[in-house]
Formats: sequence, C-alpha cells, structure tokens
Amino acid sequence: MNEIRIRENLPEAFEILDPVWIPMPDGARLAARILLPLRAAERPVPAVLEYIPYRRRDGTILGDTPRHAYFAGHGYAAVRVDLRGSGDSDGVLLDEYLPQEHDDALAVIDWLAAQPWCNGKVGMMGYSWGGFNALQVAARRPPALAAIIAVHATDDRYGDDCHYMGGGLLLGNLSWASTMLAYNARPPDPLVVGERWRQMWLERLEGSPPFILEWLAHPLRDAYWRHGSVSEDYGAIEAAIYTVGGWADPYTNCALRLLEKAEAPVKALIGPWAHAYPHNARPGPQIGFLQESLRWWDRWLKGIDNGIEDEPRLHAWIQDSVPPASDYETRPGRWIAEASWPPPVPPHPFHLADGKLTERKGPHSTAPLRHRSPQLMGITTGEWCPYGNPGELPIDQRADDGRSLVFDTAPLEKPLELLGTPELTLRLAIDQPVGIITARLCEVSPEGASTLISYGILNLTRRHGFERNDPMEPGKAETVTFRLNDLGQRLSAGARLRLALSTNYWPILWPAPAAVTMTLHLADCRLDLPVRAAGDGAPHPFPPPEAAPNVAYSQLRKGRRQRVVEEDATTGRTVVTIHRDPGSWRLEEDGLTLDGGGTERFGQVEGDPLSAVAEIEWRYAMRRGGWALRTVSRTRLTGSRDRFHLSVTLDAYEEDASGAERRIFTRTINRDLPRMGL
Amino acid sequence: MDSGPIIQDVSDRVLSIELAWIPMPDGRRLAARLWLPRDAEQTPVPAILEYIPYRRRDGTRLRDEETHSWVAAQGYACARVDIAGSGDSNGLLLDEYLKQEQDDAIEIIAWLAAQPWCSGEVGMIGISWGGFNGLQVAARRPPALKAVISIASTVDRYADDVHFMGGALLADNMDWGAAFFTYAALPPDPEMVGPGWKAQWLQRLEALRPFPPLWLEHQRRDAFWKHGSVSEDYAAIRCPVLGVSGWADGYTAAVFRLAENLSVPCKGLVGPWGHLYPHRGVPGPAIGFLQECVRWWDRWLKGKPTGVENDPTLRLWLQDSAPPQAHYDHRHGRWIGIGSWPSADIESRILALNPGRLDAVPAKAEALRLRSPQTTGLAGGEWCAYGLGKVAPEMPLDQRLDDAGSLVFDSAPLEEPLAIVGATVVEVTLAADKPQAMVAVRLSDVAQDGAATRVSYGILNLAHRDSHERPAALVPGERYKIRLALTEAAHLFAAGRRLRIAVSSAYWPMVVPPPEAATLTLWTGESRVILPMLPEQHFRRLPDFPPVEKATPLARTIFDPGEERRDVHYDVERDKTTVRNSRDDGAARIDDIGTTISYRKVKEFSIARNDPATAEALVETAMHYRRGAWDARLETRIRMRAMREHFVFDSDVDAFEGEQRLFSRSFAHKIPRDNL
Repeated sequence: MNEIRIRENLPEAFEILDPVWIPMPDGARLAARILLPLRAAERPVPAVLEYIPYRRRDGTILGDTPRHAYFAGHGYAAVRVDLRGSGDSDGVLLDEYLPQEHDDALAVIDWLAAQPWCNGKVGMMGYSWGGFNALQVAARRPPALAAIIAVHATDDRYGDDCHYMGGGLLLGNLSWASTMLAYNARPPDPLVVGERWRQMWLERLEGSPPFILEWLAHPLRDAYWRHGSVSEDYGAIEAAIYTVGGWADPYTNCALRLLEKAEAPVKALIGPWAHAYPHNARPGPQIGFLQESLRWWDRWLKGIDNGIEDEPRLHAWIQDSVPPASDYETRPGRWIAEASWPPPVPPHPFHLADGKLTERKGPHSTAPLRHRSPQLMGITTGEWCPYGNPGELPIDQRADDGRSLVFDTAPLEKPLELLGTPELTLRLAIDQPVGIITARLCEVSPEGASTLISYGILNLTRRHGFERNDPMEPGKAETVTFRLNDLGQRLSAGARLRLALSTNYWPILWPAPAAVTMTLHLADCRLDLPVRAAGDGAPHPFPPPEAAPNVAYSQLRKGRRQRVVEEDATTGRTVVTIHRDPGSWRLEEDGLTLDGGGTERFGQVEGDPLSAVAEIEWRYAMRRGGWALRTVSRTRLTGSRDRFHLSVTLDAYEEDASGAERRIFTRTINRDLPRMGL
Repeated sequence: MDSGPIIQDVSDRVLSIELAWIPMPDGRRLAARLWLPRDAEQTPVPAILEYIPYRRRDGTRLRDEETHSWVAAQGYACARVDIAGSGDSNGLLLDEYLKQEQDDAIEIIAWLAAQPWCSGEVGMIGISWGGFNGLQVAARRPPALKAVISIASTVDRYADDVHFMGGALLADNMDWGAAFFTYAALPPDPEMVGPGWKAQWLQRLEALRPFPPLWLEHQRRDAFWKHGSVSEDYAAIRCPVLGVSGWADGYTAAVFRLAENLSVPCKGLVGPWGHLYPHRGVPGPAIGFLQECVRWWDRWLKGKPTGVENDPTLRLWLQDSAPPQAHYDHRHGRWIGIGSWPSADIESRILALNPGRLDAVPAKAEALRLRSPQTTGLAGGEWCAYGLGKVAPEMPLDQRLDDAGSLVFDSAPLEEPLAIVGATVVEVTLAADKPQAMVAVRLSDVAQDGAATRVSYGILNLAHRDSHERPAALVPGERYKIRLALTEAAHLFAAGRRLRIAVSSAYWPMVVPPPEAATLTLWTGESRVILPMLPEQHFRRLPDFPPVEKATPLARTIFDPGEERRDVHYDVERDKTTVRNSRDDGAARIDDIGTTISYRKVKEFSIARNDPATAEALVETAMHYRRGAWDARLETRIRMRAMREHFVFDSDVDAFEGEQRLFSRSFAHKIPRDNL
C-alpha cells in the first residue's frame, strides 16, 4: 500500500471558517465549512465545492480535512456545504438529488463566486453523492462552475445506481435507504445552531421520509429516475469533467460513457479502487490524486496552461490475474492510456457451446440447455458496493459456478486483454413470467480457482427497455441482449475465461417470486468482448499520494466490519450478515463523541424465494457532556408472490439530566407495494 | 403441610362452550366462555359470572377451567366474560371500573338470566378486578344478581387499592398501571375473531394511554375515585356478599369494611394467602374454597339451607409467630371464628411509646427526632403479594434492616401468648420540618434471637392527616396528633417474644417519597399504641375447611419455566440503590388451544444520594403469543421520575407481528405534585 505522504508545510496558509451561513433565496441558510487561504482577501482564489448530506462537522470531517486542507494549502477555497436538511443546515432532506438540492447548489455557487475572496471561478468535486450532484449541477450550467471532478458517480440513476441493476431490485436499494434514514434522523449540533437544535431535530424526524418508500414505488425507469440522470442530455454539461471510477466500485460504467458521449472536455481515470477517493482507496495502488486534482483545477479554475487537456483522455489500470480474495491490498497491473474512446476496434465475439466458450461458431448440439440455479447462487460475489473494507470483494467463484451453467474457453494460449463493455446476447425461454438472468465473467486459473472479473444482470421483464414491465410468456424463446460491467483486465496465458449464467443473484438482487428454469438455445447466444488492441499510449506518471494533516480525534472503540455467512442446516436458511460498525471516536476540537454502525441481514431458505428477508439496522449515538442521544432505524423487506412487504421503523432517544434515556420519537411504517415484475 | 387437591373429571357432566357472543345494546359483542351442566336446557340452573379483562381464552384459561367447570358440575352455568376491549371482546378498555364496564355487566347479567339454560338467578364471583366489579355491579342492583363472592377486592378505590395508601403514592400505581398498559393493548385471537384481528388490535393500540400518569391526574380522593367505591353508599348493595382475602394480600381491609358496613347478609374469610383464590392460596394452607362457594350459591341462588348465614361473620386464620422470610409455603396457625364485627370480644390493650420501649405506663414526655434514610423500607416486601403459586420473594424480610433507620419501641418479652385480631391503632404526636412528610409505622413480632417479623403496618401522608379529599400542607414545627390504623391482622405472639413498634419517615420502594427529606419529631409520653387483643377465652376454634377440590386441569407444555427474582443493588460510587424485581413467566403452551404464551415484567426502583427527588420507577413488560403462523408481541415501558415539583412519565409501547413492528408510540407526561 502506498503510504500517504502527509504534507505538514503546504505552500499557502489558510484559516478554517465554520460555520459559514450561506443564504438561500427562500430564507433558509445552509451551513458551510470553508478552508480559506489567508491571501484570498488580497488575491482572490477559486472555490472548490463539495456538497453532500453526510454532516460536515461530524460525519465527513475526518475524510474531508486532509483533502480540503490540501486544496486550501494550494490556493483554493475548499468549501464543504451541508445539504438542506443535513448537518447544521436548515430544513428537511426529502430525497436524493431533488430539484431543491440543485437549486440550492446554484445559489451556493452564485454566492461563492460573489464573495470578495473568490476569483469568480468555482469547481465541484465529490465521490458518490457529491460526484452525482457535481454532474447534475453542471447540467444546470451555473455560469461560475468551470470544472468538476466526479468520482464514483453515475450518469443514469436507474441503470447504474444502488437501486436497480439490469432492471432487477438491488438489495443495495434497501441498504442505502436505511443508511440515509439513519443519517437524516440525526440532529444539528447545538454548538452551531443553539437552542433550536431540538426543534430542528424533531422536524427532521417528523419530516424526512424513509427514502425507500419512493424508491420501491418506481421499479421502472420513469421520470422519477430520469430526473438527475445526465445521460438524458449529455450535451447539457459545459463544465470540464474529470470522471473517476474504480474496477472494484459499482459506478465505473459512467466513466467510459461520459468519455464517449459528453460534449464538454472530459478526462477519465479508472483505477483498481473500491468506493473511495483514489489517494486512499483499497485495493491499491493509490495515486497522488490530490495533485492530479490540482492540475485539473489549475487548468480550469486558474487558467494555468498545464496541458492536461492534451493528455490521453483515458487512464485505466489494467488488472493482472490474481487469485480470488475478499480483500486486496493492491491489485497488480499497469496503467495504460487511450488517446480516444471508444476504440476503433469492433467487439470480439465468443460463442456458446456445451460447456464451452469458443471463438469459432458451431458445430453445436441442437438440444437446448435447461438450468435452474439454486436460490443461494450469488453468495460468493460479496458486496455490490465495496468500500475497501475486508470481506467485501468476490471470493472464489467456484461455489457459484457450480450453481450456474458455465461455459469455459480452452486455456488461453496468450494473454487476453479486455477494456470496455462486455455484451451478451442470449436466446432463451423461462417457465415463469418473471425471471432474472445473471451473467458472470470469471478468470479461471490453471489450478481451477475462479476470479470474478465482471457481471451483468437482466430482469427479463425489462428486456424491451427499463421503462417497461413485459412479463415473459412461459416457454416462449426470445432473444435478449444486455451489458456486463465495464472491465479492464489482462487474463494470463494458461487461464480460461468463464461465462457463468444463472437465474438469480442473492443477495445482490431480490429473487424473482418463483424459482425459474431457463432453456437456452446456444446457437443464438453470443458474448461480445472488448478485446483491447495492442499498443499502449504513454500514461501520465501519477505521483505517490499526498494529503494534508487531519484534525485530532481519538478512537474510543474499535469497529467491526465483517461479512458472515451462516447456513442453518436444520431450517435450510442461509443468512448473510454484514457488520458495518466503524466503532466510536471523539473529535477533540469540540469533544463530540460519535458511535454507531449498521447490521444487514439477508436470509433465504434454499428453494423458496418467498422466504427471502432483508433486514437492516442502523444505530447512531452522539454525546458531548450531558448532551446525549441516539437513533435506531430498521428497514425490513419480505415478499409474497405479487407484493413486497416493507417495514420501516425509526426511534430516537435522548438522555435527560439524570442520565436516563427517553424515547422522544418513534415511527412505524408498514407498506405493501406491488412487485411489478420484480 | 397441605394435602394435594382432589381432582374431579367433570367432563361427562359439563358442556364447555369456547365462545359465546353476548350482544350489547350499542352493537358491541362481548366474548364469553360458558360451562353448562349438560342437562341445563331441561333443568335450568343459576348462572355464575366472572367478568375480568385478563383474556378468558388464553389468560385465565387454566384457572377458569378447573374452577368453573367444577362449579358447573354442581349445577351452575358458569360464564367467564372478557370485559370490552380485552380478550376477544369488541370495544376498548380505556380505564378500570368505568361506568361502561358496569353498564355492560348489567346487560350481561340480564342476558344470562334470559338464557333457556338459566333459572334467572345470577351470582358474580371474582378476585381483584372481578372482586371489585362484583361489588360495584351489586351496588347497581341488577334484578337477577342475587349474591356476590368478592375476593381480594376493595370498597374504596382511593384508600385501599394499588394507587394510594394513607394518601401516599404506592409503587403499585406504576406496577399495576404498567401491567394494565399491557393488558389493555393485547390482540384478540384470530381463531376467535377472524382476519379482522389485526385491525382490532391496532384500534386498541391507537386508543391506548399509559395509566399511571392518567391516575395521577387525581392525587386526592375526588369524584374519579369515588366512582366505583361502594364505601360511598354501602346501602346500595342489596344482595348477600361473601368477602374474602388473605393476610399477605394487599386487599385485606375490604373484608372488615364489608362485614362492618353491609346491612345485607355478609360474611368474611381471611386466610394466610397472597393475592390468590383460596383454593390456590399461597402461603398455605389452601382450602376447599369451591365447596365453600357452592355453599354460598346454593343458599342464595337456589334457596338451599346450607346454613351459611349462621357462619361466624368472620372466619380468620390466626397466624403464629414465624421467622421473617421472603416466601412462605405455609403459615402455621388455626381457623377462628368471630361472631360479629366489630367484635365485643376484642379488648383494647394500650401501650405507651416511651423512648425505646413500649410500656403499660407513659414516662415523661421526650421529643425524639427522626429522619430515616430514604431507603428505609427495603425490607417491606410487596404491597400486594401476588404469589402465583411460585417461589415469589414478595414477603417482608427481617425488619431489623428497616428498624435501623426508624424509631423503635419494644415491649418486654411477653410472659404469655398475645393474640391480636383487627387493626392496631397508633396515636402519635408529631411535627415535621417540611410542609410535606410521611410516616410509616410497623408492628413487628421480635423473636428471642432478635429477628423481627412484620405483623402489620400503616402509612400516612401527613398532608392527608385530616382528609384524603382536602389534603393540607404541614406547618413546619407545628405539633399534630396523628391517629393511624395499621393493616388488619390476626396474629398470635408467642410467649417470650417482644412487640415492636417502628416509626420511619420513609418506606421505599413501596411508597414514593415526599419531595423533600423531612425530619420528624415524635413526642413520647403522649404517643401510644392500641392493640386489638383477643383474650384466649374468646378463641373460637373452627374446624378446618375441606380439602381443595377442583376439576381436571388443562394440559400445558412448559418450554421455559421462567423465574422470579428480587434483587437489591447498591452502586457505591453513585450512592444509588436499585431494587429490581423481575418476573419471567417463561414460555408455555396451552395445549388444547395450541397457543404458546410468554410474559415477563421487570420493575426497577432507584433512589440516589439519599435525595427523594431522585426517585425513579421503571416497569418494562413483554407479552408474546404464538400459534402456527400467528405471532403477536407487545412490549411496553413506563418510567416515572418523582421530581421535586412534578411527576414525570415516559411511556413507550411497541407491537410486533413476527419480526415486523406494527405499531409504536411514545408518551410524555409531566404532572404537578398535589400534596404528594
């Protein structure tokens, strides 16, 4: 792992302003933390905005400070704003990426550009939510916004976010909703907002709905999801885009699409990383991403002619073969550069035969193949969205390969290098109106170990488009085509490429209501692979990672991050339990102690898809002296044949002067929703 | 020791009807379980009604079966009806003893009397709630109601119930209030009411309010408490009443009040028992109570000459001295009869409170000062020992623990045995240095080795010295002559033992302390104790009751036997004492209906730094029903803090179906203290 070099002495001195209140047109005030170079009063600086709901003072401060201080120390005003209804900002957060959020962002950008210390140029940067809204706000074209850096973001809120994948329901939809339920249930800080903290807290508890209600009510790609999807109109973005992804992260497909379709200047970077900034993400190698970011800002916000726009448009880490593991410190590989995207070479087709994946078509047996996957197929895949913690990445796929229909190439005679988007065409019938097809691509070592390199999903009811729910006619064969996740992989000589097809994907996806048997007509099946033409461009040499010093904090309790699979042979139920417990720590500046974590449980009885249960609980506690409170939120989903049964509970507790705890708020929501082909 | 009960299989003689709906005029239907003699349609019989909210189908089912079917076999139609809003009955259960409950009872009695299998005569029987409402309904005089057996009940809902004692707030207001908070919010059984059970449950949950704060809206004896208190007009009761209780029960007083005040035939029976039916009585001996009931019913409902009217007015278990124990399986003693009440056979024996001593003659007056530690009372046990037939550590412990924080007055060792029957009265001259203060007085039986067993006790909130209806703050320093009647007892002090009067200014956790720690001054010389002495020549020994008989019990499969615990914990650093009393009924299936039931209740009382304004009480309950796919669970939690100026309550209720929470609500109440 590349140690981050902590730069104690940065070129410029800066001050920390917090809270800075940014007025919105409707009178609400958003809370900001601004790291401002001291010289800005005389020589104005550009502002770099990060705009997210994760609480600047106690939620992200340990992540933000080394990054923002680095920018401030290099002559940028680093601005971290709490979204309306989050942190210390006024209001209530009603959903992700609402027009209100974008309108507020425009007002924030206008306000920043108008500050006397600002040179009038603003950049937006963020990963995940902050990457999403950087793209979304850029599409609104605020005049001062000259450039963005969008890390682990999406351009398509239906197709490539945690809610749905290939039209199937991701359990990540529940996980994320549950996380946000817990986040939104936390109060502002009395040290910042004073006595009204309690009233604001109650307003949030009362007013912030469980997001899952809306997310489950839109199982198709309707206007709800098109809003905020910049893929609807790539041309809307005029600011220069630096798009960043990681092969271990689920948001990487966005990078190559933006590169291909956006009209503004676009530069793309894809490393081996999970869901974190590239200077501190696992798996490594980490890169000097803050230095790289500064080059982008210098060019577009300060007008420094550093030539970055003339460099190759895509940098990608081509990953070498590795044995399967749930965590890697680094992924071996090499940086490659592509001057343009997409590459001029057409995709390379592979054909499916009995157990075989061949470059030459036929001769094939005409007998169709039948397959029904066990319900637990998918259990080796790990997390849909790995954050870089132990236990998240796919383990040896052979257990799931055994639950799938597999097609292997012969041992490769020479290395096979893939970069881009695999696409699969299948001709198949299923015996149910609703079914899911999962395709996994694995690299199988000469010893037989199977490493997942990409996967794709199609909910067959969405085969005519994500906007439509068209049940299958049982027994009727149809031809469907769907994409797999982008990959950048160099398979070793002697290894085999494996395509594994399945009828479910637990616990990545919610299972179809009845077990599905598919009948596959091999003659009309094809896998198109993005085989990379030989010849690398010259990659930019990334410097080693650097960051600024962090604020002081103490870890009070070690966390627990763990993924445990338990199979109860007496009941047949297998439960995947994921512990997301960061532990407890105290911020030394103001003595705030934070504690909490989440537990996710996904259980299913083999052979009974209606036995599936997802339960997610988040616990948060905050304490400073006699001020102490905690929240517990739970989300639970079960399904019957035609309906989902959703249960959401939220409880908030406050300690009184005697140290005894009182439940000051409780909510229980039980909702039945139609499955709509899920 | 008690011999085992005689079990009778009455199934060939008794028809049991699981569910009969009794219509109310407004359209609600109340759920009843009936036991009828098989020939009742040909030969109609009187009906016996037990009318309580504790779920006939799965709450009191075992007790009901062995009781009502046995009585039915003697030629009675027994009906066990769920009060509206409880069990499977429609409607809502919004409080105890509401007029609606009594109106419904009158309808039920009329319905019973009109059934083809009923002779038209009805009796009411019940323990606790069912004993209360037997008296309350009798006072409404429904024409068909001809007799009542009222066990462990009250005539005065303010003075002698869980809420207050001597005008002081009992911990049981919380304890029972929290239990009732659960009972009022339990689901009906889907097998009885059908798929609408969940909607009915949610309706109950929506209407639910926590009872302890509701009751503390009424801290003095106002119209709220007078309603349902038959002591307001004893003459309203026109049918014969058999009053029953036990010395370990919290409701002994009613037996004596009824015997003294009713103008209709009234008999009283007090055994050694806790809050239990006498045929299930603990401490033993249990008695053949159902036979006794049938004697009562036969006389008043069938007109048979069983001679019950010639029984002594009171039949009492005169208890022997016993070492202090948290639980007794059995109390030694004998049955005696008291011909009338009040009794001319009882003589007042007066002892003067001299410093440290009880003497026949007062010595020169002295002023003794007293400020008890706030934890004085830890040896007090439960206000009401529920017993439940298990090893429940509910009885008072060795009183020396509390005597240490009290003014103690001991008699010389008795030269001969001394029997007392009835209420010991204490007259003391007191002053307090605070406007609010309380006094607790205990009468103990002190063994030669020093162990002290409580015989009787009394509590007085001094602001209530003149009236429970118009309490008045004390003038600090002013002397008051206080007269305090202790709880009734029938106790035989053995020769060689001493009588002890102990006076304390706290009695926690049974009594919620006054807002400030007061120092009392007690003047000896003019303070005295008046013992209700029953001279040996007036002992009227009665033969023992017949052995316990009951019908074949229903089968139960116990998955987890549960346990009861009472722990006292002292946190040295925080100077905080916590009494934790946990009852876990484990899990058991009632086999004939297949329902598995779990119940647990934990109560915690704490007080810190010897400051009464830190007093807290917390009660948590969990009730769980399971049968096949039916899985319903209710959890409640009520916390009370007795602050200087207010009582502050936090109450939570959560209802679950399987793993899914169906309902949750939290309540906050802040109620000013009213001379309490």
